Amino acid sequence: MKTLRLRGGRVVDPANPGSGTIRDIGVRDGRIVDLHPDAPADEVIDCGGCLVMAGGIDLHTHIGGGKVNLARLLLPELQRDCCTPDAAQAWPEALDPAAHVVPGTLLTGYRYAQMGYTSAFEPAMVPANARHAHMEMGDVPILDHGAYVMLGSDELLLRWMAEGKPFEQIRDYIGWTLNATKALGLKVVNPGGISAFKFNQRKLDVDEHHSHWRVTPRDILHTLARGLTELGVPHPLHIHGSNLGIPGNIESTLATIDALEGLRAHLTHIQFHSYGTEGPKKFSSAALQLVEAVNRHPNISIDVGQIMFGQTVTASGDTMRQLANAHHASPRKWVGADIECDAGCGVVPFRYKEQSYVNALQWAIGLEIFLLVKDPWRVVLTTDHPNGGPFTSYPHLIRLLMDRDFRNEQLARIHPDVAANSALKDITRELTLDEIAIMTRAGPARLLGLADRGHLAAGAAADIAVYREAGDPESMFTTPEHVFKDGVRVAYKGRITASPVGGTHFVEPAFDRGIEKHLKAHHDVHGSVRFEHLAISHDELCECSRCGGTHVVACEPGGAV
Amino acid sequence: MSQACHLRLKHALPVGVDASTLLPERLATLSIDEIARLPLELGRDLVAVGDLFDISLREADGVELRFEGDCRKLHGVGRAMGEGRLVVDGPVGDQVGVEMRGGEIQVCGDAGDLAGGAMAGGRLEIGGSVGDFAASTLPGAMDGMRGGVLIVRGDAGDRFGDRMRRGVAVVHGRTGDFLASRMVAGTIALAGETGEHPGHGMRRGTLVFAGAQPRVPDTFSATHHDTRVFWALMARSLAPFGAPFDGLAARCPARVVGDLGADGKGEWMLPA
Repeated sequence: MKTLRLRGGRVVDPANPGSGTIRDIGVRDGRIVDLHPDAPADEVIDCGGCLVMAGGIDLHTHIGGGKVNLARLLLPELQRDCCTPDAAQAWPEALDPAAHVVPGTLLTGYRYAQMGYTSAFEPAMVPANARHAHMEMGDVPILDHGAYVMLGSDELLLRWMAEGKPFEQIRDYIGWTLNATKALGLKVVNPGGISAFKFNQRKLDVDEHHSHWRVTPRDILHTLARGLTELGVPHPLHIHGSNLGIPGNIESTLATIDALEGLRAHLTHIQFHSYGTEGPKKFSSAALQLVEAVNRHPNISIDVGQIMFGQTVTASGDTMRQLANAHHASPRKWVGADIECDAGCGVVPFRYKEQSYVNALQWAIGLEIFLLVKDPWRVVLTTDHPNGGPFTSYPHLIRLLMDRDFRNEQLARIHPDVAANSALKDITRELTLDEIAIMTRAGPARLLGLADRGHLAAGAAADIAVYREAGDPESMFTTPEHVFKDGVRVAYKGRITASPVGGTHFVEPAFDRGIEKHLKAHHDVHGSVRFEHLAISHDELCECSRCGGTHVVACEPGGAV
Repeated sequence: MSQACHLRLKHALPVGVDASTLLPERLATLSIDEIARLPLELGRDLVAVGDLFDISLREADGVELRFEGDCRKLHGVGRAMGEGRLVVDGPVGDQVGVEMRGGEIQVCGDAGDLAGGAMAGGRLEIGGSVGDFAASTLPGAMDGMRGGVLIVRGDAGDRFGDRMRRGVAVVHGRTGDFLASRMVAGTIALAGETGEHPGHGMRRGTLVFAGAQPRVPDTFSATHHDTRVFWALMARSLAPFGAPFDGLAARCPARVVGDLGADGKGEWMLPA
């Protein structure tokens, strides 16, 4: 039972009282403990001159599942120079940033840990791919992980909604799916749109009918959000809205918020859904409208999906929108696929350019959203890795948010029309360390229901990042002095020192098992896998995620909104 | 005066070794000890150059690096090389001369797959035969060979010149299937027979069949252009590669273009 004392660091822990004070943090058995100042410790690490924070949590990053592998297969040229043992340790030395666009599992785990992140969550797990997703995330070293399972364009849900089946039946279907796939949450991508695409629709507005099933995205959103609320799943419905990337899509986004009728929901990569149609190019920022709606609706949380200039790849379940974007592919190749008739997938490589009006505006819109939303607890820092840019750009993004002069320098480099007209140039706000800690740790932990992560009170998991307070925020957040995962030091000054296996977080909401006979009847006729083989058991989850630990996140049924 | 570095393999290699870091220009300024300490990947382990090779240095007229012994498991030799001369005494592994930009590589034996893949400049000569995807694109990349000269004295495998877009590639023997598939530009000259589907998806570029004449596929068509001036220039540029390319000027070619399924601006020269 060894005890570790992190001595004399400035503890930035906005989830608990006294954030910003200088004090010691005690660690024993992988947990944070109260340690009397005079109590002996087996190891003392001097953290004078350092910030001590909880380990970072990325709540929306594509690190496992089918499309990640498709992106790797599509872009082997981006991985060629990053596979050597030298490269795995080389951080942050001049590695081509493109090497992190489609990193392998090992590089993913190492790079996150080298930046002080200790958990990452895959937002788009198709039920049929759940085993693969868990295996792949299990192969990512160090990080805790979990995934949100996708419903909303699957045949069964749409058919049952079209047939007017009782809500309870659909709720139990959601409950069964979460249990069977060992998911942490539920995601909907372009509600109904992936299915509508297969019926030759090329767009689907929130109140437009699916041409075959005659249901609307509004119905789907409300049904799923209500289901999660009744099941008591902590993470609200994770929504990739309609009309991603289309000028004027702020209307869809506001309609989406309206469709929820006050039910909780998380709108993801919201930057891609905050576009207006003003100005000579009929493409403008609708960040103000979006932020006004978010500030007014306490049931809504968001993550931004900031874009970063340079090479990346967009990987999405939204086949409808990815087909529309395919002609922008750079390099000129892409993949689109159906998955088990229940979901879709589109992978389009993309290079965001500073001198492109559209890309520059996207960059500015993301930053506007970060800086204008009042409540940092409802904004999560993401680039929707790799869609807006690789996660390794987070330190740069943090500096943009914390340093107004630096932000204005970058603003001067982008397309002049955007630089001249963007609201960004008038925003003086600089985010504080507490606010950054909320957006990267405490906030996502709370949104996911991870009670013992994202903060540093006694009893919390000892996932800790120690940053030396020197230089600009970018260099500080790039290379923490020490990183601990469950009390084990995994990185020291940018070098990986240990590679433990991370745990899986998932929910097990209660539901009526009577639903299984209906599901079996459907799968016996339409499924490609035996119904009995669909559900992943605890033991199997443990095995396929390399036994890094299984953490059941508690549900509170009864509909607490 | 410069130095020539000789690396003689001590033992046959049990697994593949990536030798792409051993370039003539890089070793030219190093001592024997420094070269001996350079790291190499042997499977999943790191070893030193001195563990695998006997090293000797001699004076020479230019920068030179010479590999001796059975180098069939030595891959990536001369990758991205920019200058100097690199000689492999026998056979060599995959990816010899990929992405090379200048200088000269001479392989006395056979080479594996992807010889001269994505090469952009310089001269790569293979004394023996090459595997598949020579003068082609590296996996996933959009462009194949984009400059320089590749000479194959023996035969070539499948997909020779896939996505090639500039430079000259000459094969003295025969090639496998899908010669010049998806070719964008550049010149390929062939002395021997070719396999199935030559010119599949060829968009532009020139194929010269100096020896056996292939069957012209349905997706290629005759143009009856007057090619005499062009042919005189082309024949002169190919003559230095020796027989049968040195007698082309006297043989007036038929010209067909294709692949009509993909732009159809590629040309085949079929000298009588």
